Amino acid sequence: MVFDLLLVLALLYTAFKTATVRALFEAIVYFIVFGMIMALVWARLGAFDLALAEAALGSGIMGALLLDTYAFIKKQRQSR
Amino acid sequence: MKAFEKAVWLGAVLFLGLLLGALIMLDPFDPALHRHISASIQNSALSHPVTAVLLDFRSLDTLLEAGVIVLAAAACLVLWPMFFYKPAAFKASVIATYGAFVFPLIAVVATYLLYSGAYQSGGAFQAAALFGGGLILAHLNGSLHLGAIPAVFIRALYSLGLFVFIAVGFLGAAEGSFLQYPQEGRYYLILGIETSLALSLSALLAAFFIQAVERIGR
Repeated sequence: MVFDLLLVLALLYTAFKTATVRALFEAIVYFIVFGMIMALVWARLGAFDLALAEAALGSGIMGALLLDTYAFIKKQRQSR
Repeated sequence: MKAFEKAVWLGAVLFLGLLLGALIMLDPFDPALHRHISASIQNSALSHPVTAVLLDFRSLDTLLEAGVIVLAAAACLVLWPMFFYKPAAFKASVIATYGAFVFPLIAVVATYLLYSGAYQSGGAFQAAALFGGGLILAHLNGSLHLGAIPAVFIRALYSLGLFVFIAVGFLGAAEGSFLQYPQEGRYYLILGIETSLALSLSALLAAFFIQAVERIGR
């Protein structure tokens, strides 16, 4: 019960931080952490297939793509 | 800019209120659906309700979903040349060692997920997500050499899953309607669809990342 409550609080906190933080890189890291916590929430709810898909897609591949896009944007800003 | 921010905040709060309202007015879980699926699962070759719905009762939805991913990849293939840049070097010893240990594990777990989708949670999409991530990892530590494979084969791999799905659909069309699996060999047909879908989808998911970082035929 305490663990579930902590999980929900962490989920809401990372979601809020993802949307409000100014620095792009920090927002991406918060998004990845949010995905991991979301996967834990799905696992706690008994939806293990969703948990796996969320961990692999939401955090893994999405995170890699976002970091790649960040590197691209940074390069473009430097060259300008 | 300040007024714009205020409008965004107002919209977000309104949306949150709508969501909460929808949550409160949501009907309680209807057990009729579960009973309906349990009753018709006897006719299916699959014993897990989620997989049975995805690949047997509502397989057209799954086919269209796979089609959407292939279309997205086609759009990416067209747009990639616009976003050309030289990537930073990824040769880090942590990634190399980690990838060497973890990639075989990911391959085994993904195969297990694919095969066990018939009787428990899992299936093509989960296996593909996992294996696609594994392919990205293998690419990052430099052990995935795609340059040796002709681009035609890789593109054929992208559409393999959709192709097999539609081919099986027309095989069933001889029996009655599109995607009506024949009675004998039903399980193996579904397993074939799942396997080819998982291969294609993992290649596509990995391609979204790999092609964005390092272009083939630069």
